[in-house]
This record gives sequence, structure tokens and C-alpha cells, in this order.
Amino acid sequence: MKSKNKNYNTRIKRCRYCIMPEVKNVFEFDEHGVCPSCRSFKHMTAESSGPAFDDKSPDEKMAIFKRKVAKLRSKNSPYDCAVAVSGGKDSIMTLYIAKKILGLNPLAIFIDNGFALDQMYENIKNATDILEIDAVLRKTHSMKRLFRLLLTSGKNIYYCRVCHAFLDLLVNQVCSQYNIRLVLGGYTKGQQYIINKELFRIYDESDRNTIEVIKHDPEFGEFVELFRNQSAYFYKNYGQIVHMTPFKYVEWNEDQILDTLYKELDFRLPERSWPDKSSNCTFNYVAQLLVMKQFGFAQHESELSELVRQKEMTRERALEIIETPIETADLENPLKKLHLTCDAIGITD
Amino acid sequence: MDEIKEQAVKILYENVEELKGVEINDNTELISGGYIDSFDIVNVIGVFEEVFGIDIDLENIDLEEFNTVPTICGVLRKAGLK
Repeated sequence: MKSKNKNYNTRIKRCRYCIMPEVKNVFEFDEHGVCPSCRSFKHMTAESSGPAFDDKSPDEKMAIFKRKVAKLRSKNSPYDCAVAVSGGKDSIMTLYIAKKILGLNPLAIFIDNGFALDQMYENIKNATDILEIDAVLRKTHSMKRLFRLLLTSGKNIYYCRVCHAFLDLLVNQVCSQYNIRLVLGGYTKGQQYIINKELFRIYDESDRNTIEVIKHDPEFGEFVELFRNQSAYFYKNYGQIVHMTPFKYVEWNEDQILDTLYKELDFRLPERSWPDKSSNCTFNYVAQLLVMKQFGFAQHESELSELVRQKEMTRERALEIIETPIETADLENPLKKLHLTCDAIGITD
Repeated sequence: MDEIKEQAVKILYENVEELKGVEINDNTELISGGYIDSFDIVNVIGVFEEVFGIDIDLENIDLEEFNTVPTICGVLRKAGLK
């Protein structure tokens, strides 16, 4: 019998500068306890050959952002752009920026993967009501069937990777319907995964295993091409749609964002979501625990570490976030929707 | 600067707002310098394809190959540009 209060997110050795954990033979620390990403970041900072985009002033960055949006906003659509919203603080702030700062008429697009929290819906409803923004809310049950198929295969899979690919696909489908060619998403600097090379091996293995499982499946077999190379897939099928994040141009500050959203958009953080102060779906508990067991770390560690390196978050705050407990009930609830148990997928061994 | 390189730099200036006013040389780090991200790369690939009349096979390149002008030229040559 499992204890309901057992915390499966136990403390582990982390880099002394950021919060990346050590993974034997794959991601090893030096004799000073520093991870490869921090070592190459310091190297890059010290030997960078020239100026970087971040050297530009906030005004310059905002001017660039506005010029890009003006160039890319949709011309043959009732909407200037779409904002992909999850109901969390970053995407709701993006909606706010689109409407109040850029003066755009955006369409909010929310896709419920079957594990959305009530608070995610509530935040989107409040924000779109107050800002008078049209919204498309779509719920899919395919993700549950796909997750069940993948979980029962026993293969190493990064579930957030799988989910994001499908969410991007569905968002692009909605944009195509409305002739929208610009999508704003609330990605922070830490989510610029092209520079987080430590994630590439995880993506590669997860994509390979996903393809292996779905290739002969009657419902999901057609998505093999998506997982073979996501950039190529989206370029080929939705090349006319451009995705951007405001947080490349507008400073990301967690406290300021929350303060604005509390005051102006009646925003609330969910009572419980992993990690702390996030609004992630309930399956995120399972995904995170599996990723720690199978790969050692994933996007959350990488994103928070990058924010620490970029001095947008303190290491203490990042540690507090990443050490948010994962308890038995957190795992059982989403698995129940898939008619699975922790024991059945060996998650709590 | 050879002709391909010159044209690649011109395309970058014309299509990447972040690079306006930045002196681009062989060592300018476009990705690690924060000027372009994966979204920008995908956009600029379309322009390269159109201007040079080539097909860039995204399945066989790493987006990281867009980090400097010389590596971009390598991608363009791999796509058949002479």
C-alpha cells in the first residue's frame, strides 16, 4: 500500500551554478561540481566574438518586436494574430501584451489535452472577457489514447514533447481556418530549446521510440512524419505560419507578470500544479517523474537553469520550483483517466 | 566575401529585424548571440529557397547550422547551390 503523502521528487545532486542534475556518462559535472551547460555558457560569455541581441536597450527591443509584428500580422483574416494560451501566467501575459501593448486584435486558441485544470479554463475565460478577445477552445481525447498507447509500450518517452507537437499541430490547424499567419506564444528565454543542446538526445530518443510505437497504429500511424522531424513537418505543412514569443523582446519577470495579471485580469494560480506557481496539466506530474527516471532531466530543469544563467531568476527560486513535491495522488489521478495505475507502468518502483 | 556569402548576409539583413544595425561578419553568432531563434530560422529558410531556387532538406540539417554565415553557406551548398 503506497503512502498518499510520499514525495517522489527526492533531492538529488545539482550543478552548483544552475539546477541541472548530473546524469552518468551523459551529462557529467567537472571537479568543481559545474555542469557542461554552465561551462559552455561561461566560455561563450567570456569569448563571445561580438555583441548579442540582449545588449540592446529595452526600447530598441520593443521597436524591433513592433516592426516584426507589423510585418507579419495577418492581412486577410478577421484577426491580426493568434495567441496560443494554456491558461498559465506566461501565455495569459502574452494575450495581455498582444491586446494592451501592441493594440492587436488577437484570437486566443486553447487546446485541452484532456488533462487541463479547471483554473486554466477560468483564467482564459476571465482574460478573454476582460480584454474582449475572441477565443477558440478545443478539447481532444486523442492525447489520452496516445499516452495510454505509449505508456503501455514501456519505452522511454518524453510526454511533454509528444503533447507539444500535437498542440502545435492543432493550433496551426485553427490558424489555417482563420487565415492567421502570426502566432504569439508565451515562451521564456529558457524555452529557446535550440540553444539547450542537453535536450537534443532526449528529443531524439523520445521521437525514435514514439515512431516505433505509433507506426502501425491505425489512429496515430499518420503522424510518423511529425515525429521524424518536427521543424521539417511544420515547414512543409504550415510554412506560412510564423511563431514568435514576446519574451525575447519584453523582459520576463515572474513577480511583475503575476502582479499585472492578478490586478487586471482576475488571474489565479491553481491550488495544485507541478511545478510551483505553474498552471500545467495534471499529466505533468506523471511526465516529469517518468522523464527523471528515464532521462535524468528535461525541459523544466533546462528552462529554469537557463533563466538562472540569464539572471532572470535566482538559483534559490529555481530550486524551490524544481523541488515541488510529487505525491502518490498527483500520479494516480491523471493515470486513472487512462485506466492505468502507478504499478502498471512501474512509475513508483 | 564571395557572392553566396554576400547574398546570404543581404537576405539576413532584409528578413531578420534583430540584425538591423549589427555588423555581420564570419564570427557573428546568430543563434547563440540571441539574434535568431528556431522560428526565425524556419522563416528565413523559405527566403533562401526562393531567392536561390533550391530546396533545403530540413530533415538532413541541424538548425544549429544557421549559427554563422559560413555555416549557412555550407547549408546552401549542401542544398545544391554552386
